[in-house]
Amino acid sequence: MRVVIAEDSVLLRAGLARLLEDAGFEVVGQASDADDLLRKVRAHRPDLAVTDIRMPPTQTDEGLRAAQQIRAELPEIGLMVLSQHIDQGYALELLQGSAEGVGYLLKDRVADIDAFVDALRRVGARGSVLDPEVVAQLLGRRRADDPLDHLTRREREVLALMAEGRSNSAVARELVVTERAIEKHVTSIFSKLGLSAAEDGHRRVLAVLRYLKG
Amino acid sequence: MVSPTVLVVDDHAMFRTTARALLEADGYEVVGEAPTASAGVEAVRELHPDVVLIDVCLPDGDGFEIAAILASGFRESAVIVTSSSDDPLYHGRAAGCGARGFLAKHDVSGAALDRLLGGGSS
Repeated sequence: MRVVIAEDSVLLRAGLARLLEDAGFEVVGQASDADDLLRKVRAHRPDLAVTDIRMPPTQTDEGLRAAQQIRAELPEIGLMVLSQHIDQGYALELLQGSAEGVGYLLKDRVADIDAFVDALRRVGARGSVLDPEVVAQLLGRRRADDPLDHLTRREREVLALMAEGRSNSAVARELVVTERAIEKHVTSIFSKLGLSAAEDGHRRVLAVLRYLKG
Repeated sequence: MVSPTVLVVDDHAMFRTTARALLEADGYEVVGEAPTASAGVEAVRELHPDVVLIDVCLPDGDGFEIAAILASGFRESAVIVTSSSDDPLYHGRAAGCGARGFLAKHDVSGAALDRLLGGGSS
């Protein structure tokens, strides 16, 4: 999988490139700011772009803006946005319209290299990845007569993993149950929340998020 | 030759992970990581690393103070203070607290550690 990475800290950029190469990715470009990222993505047409949100010149949301630009221009390129702090607004903005080939993770998740690499591969393969902390925040929002209250504890666990972008088989592995059992939970969740059970893959993530956003 | 061992003390997991990847590629062995000053001191006690790479600003303390404690109590470990900003003041403070030196984060590499360790150990 060919990757372009954008990160203004030299050490983090070099370290990330090293980690990705060790994991079998081909790092075809390294950018130090958003303009550089756009240039390198246009030139190399990678499978995946990994970008920090805060970059020069303003250190606010340059990476997010660049990611949105890439999406509009080259929608076939997977995008993983990394952030020092969780910002639900950024995450939802990024997933606006489509969750296909998009990921949003805390930078600290890089420390679990296997899980991080797995997340990158999923995004590169047109899947979705959403940081568990964003999902927890969304699930934590309470409303009057909340249909979420009707879910069992297990169903809530399944819902959280679905919102993070996991497939039924990945949820089954995580919870150490059969895929058939997960399918049953998913059917039950969708029916309790009044969602269309026909949704699959990244469309399912979007349906779940749309629901959680209320 | 046995690889020199390193402990990385920084509250950002991504810094610890990427510093580990770079230093290990340069022949160092990162034997531990700690997210706070207190966990760092504990890890030095346990692991006796050759090098402690410690951030200036930690959630529970100032990297220079911790460097001073480590430099006086654990003389076999060379303490190198690091920060994302390359402030000349930091170089002076590192020398004053008994650390082996200061290294800006963008300069962290095996070669940079080699220079600091080779230059001050005699």
